Amino acid sequence: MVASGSSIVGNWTRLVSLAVINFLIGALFGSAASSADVSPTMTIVMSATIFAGASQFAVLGVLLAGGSPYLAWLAAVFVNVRYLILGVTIGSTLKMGATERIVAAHFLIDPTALLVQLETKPSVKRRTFWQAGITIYLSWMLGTVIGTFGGTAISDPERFGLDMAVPILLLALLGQGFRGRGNGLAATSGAAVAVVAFLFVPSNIAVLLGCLGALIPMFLERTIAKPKSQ
Amino acid sequence: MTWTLVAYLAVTTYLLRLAGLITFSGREMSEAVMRYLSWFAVALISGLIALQALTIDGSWSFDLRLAGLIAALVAVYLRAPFFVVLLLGVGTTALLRVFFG
Repeated sequence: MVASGSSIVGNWTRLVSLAVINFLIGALFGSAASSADVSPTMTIVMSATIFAGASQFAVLGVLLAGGSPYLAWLAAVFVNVRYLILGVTIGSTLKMGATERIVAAHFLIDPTALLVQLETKPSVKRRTFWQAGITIYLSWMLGTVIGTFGGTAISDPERFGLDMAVPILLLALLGQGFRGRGNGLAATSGAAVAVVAFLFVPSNIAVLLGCLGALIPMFLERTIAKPKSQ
Repeated sequence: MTWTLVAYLAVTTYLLRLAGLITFSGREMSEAVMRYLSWFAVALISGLIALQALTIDGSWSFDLRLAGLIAALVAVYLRAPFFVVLLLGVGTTALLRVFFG
Protein backbone atom coordinates (compact mmCIF):
# COMPACT_ATOMS: atom_id res chain seq x y z
CA MET A 1 0.00 0.00 0.00
CA VAL A 2 1.12 3.52 -0.62
CA ALA A 3 2.64 5.33 2.35
CA SER A 4 0.47 8.30 1.61
CA GLY A 5 0.59 9.84 5.03
CA SER A 6 4.28 10.67 4.94
CA SER A 7 3.86 14.22 3.75
CA ILE A 8 3.43 16.73 6.54
CA VAL A 9 0.90 18.80 4.62
CA GLY A 10 -1.14 15.73 3.74
CA ASN A 11 -1.14 14.62 7.34
CA TRP A 12 -2.17 18.05 8.57
CA THR A 13 -5.01 18.31 6.05
CA ARG A 14 -6.35 14.94 7.13
CA LEU A 15 -6.16 15.74 10.83
CA VAL A 16 -7.87 19.11 10.42
CA SER A 17 -10.63 17.60 8.27
CA LEU A 18 -11.14 14.78 10.75
CA ALA A 19 -11.25 17.30 13.60
CA VAL A 20 -13.75 19.61 11.92
CA ILE A 21 -16.14 16.87 10.87
CA ASN A 22 -16.06 15.08 14.19
CA PHE A 23 -16.56 18.38 15.98
CA LEU A 24 -19.66 19.07 13.89
CA ILE A 25 -21.09 15.58 14.32
CA GLY A 26 -20.31 15.73 18.03
CA ALA A 27 -22.23 18.99 18.23
CA LEU A 28 -25.11 17.32 16.41
CA PHE A 29 -25.11 14.55 18.96
CA GLY A 30 -24.98 16.97 21.88
CA SER A 31 -27.85 18.89 20.37
CA ALA A 32 -29.90 15.76 19.65
CA ALA A 33 -29.32 14.39 23.14
CA SER A 34 -30.35 17.68 24.67
CA SER A 35 -33.55 17.63 22.61
CA ALA A 36 -34.19 14.14 23.91
CA ASP A 37 -33.94 15.46 27.47
CA VAL A 38 -30.66 13.78 28.24
CA SER A 39 -28.85 15.88 30.82
CA PRO A 40 -25.65 17.65 29.74
CA THR A 41 -23.64 15.59 32.19
CA MET A 42 -24.98 12.32 30.88
CA THR A 43 -24.52 13.44 27.28
CA ILE A 44 -20.91 14.37 27.88
CA VAL A 45 -20.18 11.17 29.77
CA MET A 46 -21.73 9.21 26.92
CA SER A 47 -19.45 10.77 24.36
CA ALA A 48 -16.44 10.38 26.64
CA THR A 49 -16.95 6.74 27.53
CA ILE A 50 -18.60 5.32 24.43
CA PHE A 51 -16.91 7.43 21.75
CA ALA A 52 -18.80 5.80 18.91
CA GLY A 53 -20.96 8.30 17.04
CA ALA A 54 -23.15 5.98 15.01
CA SER A 55 -24.11 3.89 18.01
CA GLN A 56 -24.70 6.95 20.19
CA PHE A 57 -27.20 8.25 17.65
CA ALA A 58 -28.73 4.80 17.32
CA VAL A 59 -29.33 4.58 21.06
CA LEU A 60 -31.05 7.97 21.06
CA GLY A 61 -33.16 6.88 18.11
CA VAL A 62 -34.32 3.65 19.69
CA LEU A 63 -35.20 5.31 22.99
CA LEU A 64 -37.04 8.16 21.27
CA ALA A 65 -39.03 5.64 19.25
CA GLY A 66 -40.15 4.07 22.50
CA GLY A 67 -37.79 1.15 22.49
CA SER A 68 -36.52 -0.38 25.70
CA PRO A 69 -33.00 0.26 27.03
CA TYR A 70 -32.18 -3.35 26.22
CA LEU A 71 -33.17 -2.80 22.60
CA ALA A 72 -31.10 0.37 22.49
CA TRP A 73 -28.10 -1.52 23.86
CA LEU A 74 -28.62 -4.28 21.32
CA ALA A 75 -28.75 -1.78 18.49
CA ALA A 76 -25.50 -0.24 19.71
CA VAL A 77 -23.84 -3.64 19.86
CA PHE A 78 -24.88 -4.39 16.29
CA VAL A 79 -23.54 -1.09 15.11
CA ASN A 80 -20.27 -1.41 17.04
CA VAL A 81 -19.42 -5.05 16.49
CA ARG A 82 -17.56 -3.96 13.39
CA TYR A 83 -14.90 -2.62 15.79
CA LEU A 84 -14.17 -6.20 16.68
CA ILE A 85 -13.35 -6.92 13.06
CA LEU A 86 -11.42 -3.68 12.59
CA GLY A 87 -9.46 -4.45 15.74
CA VAL A 88 -8.48 -7.85 14.42
CA THR A 89 -7.33 -6.39 11.13
CA ILE A 90 -5.07 -3.75 12.67
CA GLY A 91 -4.16 -5.55 15.89
CA SER A 92 -1.32 -7.50 14.36
CA THR A 93 0.16 -4.53 12.52
CA LEU A 94 0.18 -2.16 15.46
CA LYS A 95 3.35 -2.53 17.45
CA MET A 96 2.20 -1.78 20.95
CA GLY A 97 2.81 -3.23 24.38
CA ALA A 98 -0.05 -4.57 26.46
CA THR A 99 -0.62 -1.43 28.51
CA GLU A 100 -0.59 0.84 25.49
CA ARG A 101 -2.93 -1.50 23.69
CA ILE A 102 -5.41 -1.41 26.57
CA VAL A 103 -5.54 2.39 26.35
CA ALA A 104 -5.45 2.44 22.56
CA ALA A 105 -8.55 0.25 22.34
CA HIS A 106 -10.74 3.16 23.37
CA PHE A 107 -9.60 5.11 20.32
CA LEU A 108 -10.36 2.44 17.76
CA ILE A 109 -12.77 3.97 15.29
CA ASP A 110 -13.24 3.79 11.53
CA PRO A 111 -10.83 6.61 10.64
CA THR A 112 -8.02 5.48 12.96
CA ALA A 113 -8.32 1.90 11.74
CA LEU A 114 -8.23 3.05 8.12
CA LEU A 115 -5.28 5.35 8.68
CA VAL A 116 -3.32 2.52 10.28
CA GLN A 117 -4.00 0.41 7.22
CA LEU A 118 -2.91 3.15 4.84
CA GLU A 119 0.52 3.53 6.38
CA THR A 120 3.22 0.99 5.75
CA LYS A 121 5.85 1.60 8.44
CA PRO A 122 4.99 0.30 11.93
CA SER A 123 6.30 3.38 13.73
CA VAL A 124 4.28 5.65 11.45
CA LYS A 125 1.20 3.47 11.92
CA ARG A 126 1.44 3.86 15.66
CA ARG A 127 2.04 7.57 15.55
CA THR A 128 -0.79 8.13 13.07
CA PHE A 129 -3.16 6.09 15.19
CA TRP A 130 -2.54 8.23 18.26
CA GLN A 131 -2.49 11.53 16.40
CA ALA A 132 -5.80 10.86 14.71
CA GLY A 133 -7.33 9.13 17.72
CA ILE A 134 -6.62 11.92 20.16
CA THR A 135 -7.50 14.66 17.66
CA ILE A 136 -10.85 13.07 16.89
CA TYR A 137 -11.57 12.39 20.54
CA LEU A 138 -10.92 16.00 21.54
CA SER A 139 -12.98 17.31 18.63
CA TRP A 140 -15.79 14.90 19.42
CA MET A 141 -15.82 15.98 23.07
CA LEU A 142 -15.64 19.67 22.27
CA GLY A 143 -18.47 19.26 19.79
CA THR A 144 -20.56 17.34 22.29
CA VAL A 145 -20.08 19.98 24.97
CA ILE A 146 -21.00 22.81 22.65
CA GLY A 147 -23.90 20.87 21.21
CA THR A 148 -25.43 19.96 24.52
CA PHE A 149 -25.30 23.54 25.79
CA GLY A 150 -25.72 25.30 22.48
CA GLY A 151 -29.24 24.12 21.87
CA THR A 152 -30.45 23.87 18.32
CA ALA A 153 -27.81 25.83 16.50
CA ILE A 154 -27.38 23.15 13.86
CA SER A 155 -30.95 21.99 13.63
CA ASP A 156 -30.70 21.21 9.96
CA PRO A 157 -27.63 19.10 9.22
CA GLU A 158 -28.89 18.21 5.77
CA ARG A 159 -28.57 21.79 4.63
CA PHE A 160 -24.81 21.57 4.73
CA GLY A 161 -24.59 18.05 3.46
CA LEU A 162 -23.44 17.03 6.93
CA ASP A 163 -25.38 13.80 6.90
CA MET A 164 -22.98 12.66 4.20
CA ALA A 165 -19.93 14.10 5.92
CA VAL A 166 -18.86 10.90 7.67
CA PRO A 167 -19.32 8.49 4.74
CA ILE A 168 -17.52 10.89 2.41
CA LEU A 169 -14.75 11.39 4.93
CA LEU A 170 -14.28 7.63 5.09
CA LEU A 171 -14.35 7.43 1.30
CA ALA A 172 -11.71 10.15 1.05
CA LEU A 173 -9.53 8.20 3.49
CA LEU A 174 -10.04 5.02 1.50
CA GLY A 175 -9.22 6.87 -1.68
CA GLN A 176 -5.73 7.50 -0.42
CA GLY A 177 -5.04 3.80 -0.15
CA PHE A 178 -6.77 2.61 -3.31
CA ARG A 179 -3.52 2.27 -5.14
CA GLY A 180 -2.51 -0.80 -3.20
CA ARG A 181 -2.99 -4.34 -4.46
CA GLY A 182 -6.54 -5.54 -4.45
CA ASN A 183 -7.94 -2.65 -2.42
CA GLY A 184 -10.14 -1.33 -5.21
CA LEU A 185 -11.67 -4.75 -5.72
CA ALA A 186 -12.06 -5.27 -1.98
CA ALA A 187 -13.85 -1.93 -1.68
CA THR A 188 -16.17 -2.53 -4.63
CA SER A 189 -16.94 -6.07 -3.50
CA GLY A 190 -17.56 -4.93 0.05
CA ALA A 191 -19.99 -2.26 -1.10
CA ALA A 192 -21.75 -4.70 -3.45
CA VAL A 193 -22.06 -7.46 -0.85
CA ALA A 194 -23.40 -5.05 1.78
CA VAL A 195 -25.99 -3.60 -0.60
CA VAL A 196 -27.15 -7.02 -1.77
CA ALA A 197 -27.21 -8.30 1.81
CA PHE A 198 -29.45 -5.39 2.78
CA LEU A 199 -32.11 -6.87 0.51
CA PHE A 200 -32.35 -9.73 2.96
CA VAL A 201 -31.13 -8.61 6.37
CA PRO A 202 -31.20 -5.41 8.47
CA SER A 203 -28.59 -2.79 7.68
CA ASN A 204 -26.50 -3.50 10.76
CA ILE A 205 -25.95 -7.10 9.72
CA ALA A 206 -25.55 -6.13 6.08
CA VAL A 207 -22.63 -3.91 7.05
CA LEU A 208 -20.89 -6.80 8.78
CA LEU A 209 -21.48 -9.12 5.83
CA GLY A 210 -19.87 -6.49 3.62
CA CYS A 211 -16.45 -7.46 4.95
CA LEU A 212 -16.91 -10.81 3.23
CA GLY A 213 -16.39 -8.90 0.01
CA ALA A 214 -12.69 -9.25 0.79
CA LEU A 215 -13.02 -12.91 -0.10
CA ILE A 216 -13.29 -12.00 -3.76
CA PRO A 217 -9.81 -10.52 -4.26
CA MET A 218 -8.50 -13.24 -1.93
CA PHE A 219 -10.04 -15.93 -4.08
CA LEU A 220 -8.77 -14.32 -7.27
CA GLU A 221 -5.27 -14.00 -5.92
CA ARG A 222 -5.09 -17.57 -4.74
CA THR A 223 -6.60 -19.20 -7.80
CA ILE A 224 -5.48 -16.99 -10.66
CA ALA A 225 -2.18 -15.66 -9.45
CA LYS A 226 -0.89 -18.92 -8.07
CA PRO A 227 -1.01 -21.06 -11.24
CA LYS A 228 0.95 -18.34 -13.04
CA SER A 229 3.86 -18.66 -10.65
CA GLN A 230 4.20 -22.40 -11.22
CA MET B 1 -31.37 7.08 29.09
CA THR B 2 -30.04 5.92 32.40
CA TRP B 3 -26.58 5.73 33.88
CA THR B 4 -26.90 1.97 33.82
CA LEU B 5 -27.45 1.99 30.09
CA VAL B 6 -24.53 4.34 29.54
CA ALA B 7 -22.33 2.06 31.61
CA TYR B 8 -23.39 -1.03 29.67
CA LEU B 9 -22.80 0.75 26.38
CA ALA B 10 -19.38 2.00 27.39
CA VAL B 11 -18.17 -1.35 28.68
CA THR B 12 -19.55 -3.36 25.78
CA THR B 13 -18.11 -1.06 23.15
CA TYR B 14 -14.74 -1.04 24.85
CA LEU B 15 -14.62 -4.82 25.14
CA LEU B 16 -15.49 -5.23 21.46
CA ARG B 17 -12.61 -2.95 20.56
CA LEU B 18 -10.15 -4.53 22.96
CA ALA B 19 -11.01 -8.08 21.95
CA GLY B 20 -10.17 -7.41 18.33
CA LEU B 21 -7.04 -5.47 19.12
CA ILE B 22 -5.48 -8.15 21.31
CA THR B 23 -6.49 -11.18 19.26
CA PHE B 24 -3.38 -11.39 17.11
CA SER B 25 -1.24 -8.87 18.87
CA GLY B 26 1.79 -11.00 19.62
CA ARG B 27 2.12 -13.00 16.50
CA GLU B 28 4.00 -12.41 13.32
CA MET B 29 1.83 -12.84 10.30
CA SER B 30 2.75 -13.42 6.71
CA GLU B 31 2.55 -10.54 4.28
CA ALA B 32 -0.32 -12.22 2.48
CA VAL B 33 -2.38 -12.61 5.65
CA MET B 34 -1.79 -8.97 6.60
CA ARG B 35 -2.93 -7.94 3.14
CA TYR B 36 -6.06 -10.08 3.43
CA LEU B 37 -6.86 -8.66 6.86
CA SER B 38 -6.65 -5.12 5.56
CA TRP B 39 -8.92 -6.07 2.66
CA PHE B 40 -11.52 -7.09 5.23
CA ALA B 41 -11.31 -3.65 6.81
CA VAL B 42 -11.56 -1.96 3.41
CA ALA B 43 -14.54 -4.12 2.39
CA LEU B 44 -16.30 -3.48 5.69
CA ILE B 45 -15.87 0.29 5.55
CA SER B 46 -16.91 0.34 1.88
CA GLY B 47 -20.08 -1.51 2.76
CA LEU B 48 -20.69 1.00 5.52
CA ILE B 49 -20.26 3.91 3.12
CA ALA B 50 -22.56 2.37 0.52
CA LEU B 51 -25.31 1.68 3.03
CA GLN B 52 -25.04 5.12 4.60
CA ALA B 53 -25.47 6.69 1.18
CA LEU B 54 -28.34 4.49 0.07
CA THR B 55 -30.39 4.00 3.21
CA ILE B 56 -31.91 6.02 6.00
CA ASP B 57 -32.79 4.49 9.35
CA GLY B 58 -32.90 1.00 7.99
CA SER B 59 -34.76 1.45 4.69
CA TRP B 60 -33.80 2.35 1.15
CA SER B 61 -33.59 6.02 0.32
CA PHE B 62 -32.29 7.37 -2.96
CA ASP B 63 -31.80 11.08 -2.83
CA LEU B 64 -29.28 13.84 -3.36
CA ARG B 65 -26.84 12.19 -0.98
CA LEU B 66 -26.13 9.80 -3.80
CA ALA B 67 -24.94 12.69 -5.95
CA GLY B 68 -22.47 13.67 -3.27
CA LEU B 69 -21.19 10.11 -3.09
CA ILE B 70 -20.81 9.89 -6.85
CA ALA B 71 -18.98 13.23 -6.92
CA ALA B 72 -16.61 11.93 -4.25
CA LEU B 73 -16.13 8.65 -6.12
CA VAL B 74 -15.23 10.50 -9.31
CA ALA B 75 -12.77 12.63 -7.38
CA VAL B 76 -11.19 9.53 -5.89
CA TYR B 77 -10.98 7.90 -9.30
CA LEU B 78 -9.27 10.99 -10.66
CA ARG B 79 -6.81 10.76 -7.74
CA ALA B 80 -7.83 14.12 -6.32
CA PRO B 81 -6.27 15.10 -2.98
CA PHE B 82 -8.00 14.15 0.23
CA PHE B 83 -9.49 17.55 0.96
CA VAL B 84 -10.79 18.00 -2.57
CA VAL B 85 -12.65 14.69 -2.35
CA LEU B 86 -14.17 15.80 0.93
CA LEU B 87 -15.24 19.21 -0.31
CA LEU B 88 -16.61 17.88 -3.58
CA GLY B 89 -18.65 15.21 -1.88
CA VAL B 90 -20.16 17.28 0.90
CA GLY B 91 -20.37 20.39 -1.25
CA THR B 92 -22.20 18.67 -4.09
CA THR B 93 -24.87 17.38 -1.73
CA ALA B 94 -25.29 20.76 -0.07
CA LEU B 95 -25.32 22.66 -3.37
CA LEU B 96 -27.84 20.38 -5.03
CA ARG B 97 -30.07 20.68 -2.01
CA VAL B 98 -30.04 24.46 -2.37
CA PHE B 99 -31.44 24.11 -5.89
CA PHE B 100 -33.48 20.95 -5.68
CA GLY B 101 -33.83 20.16 -1.99
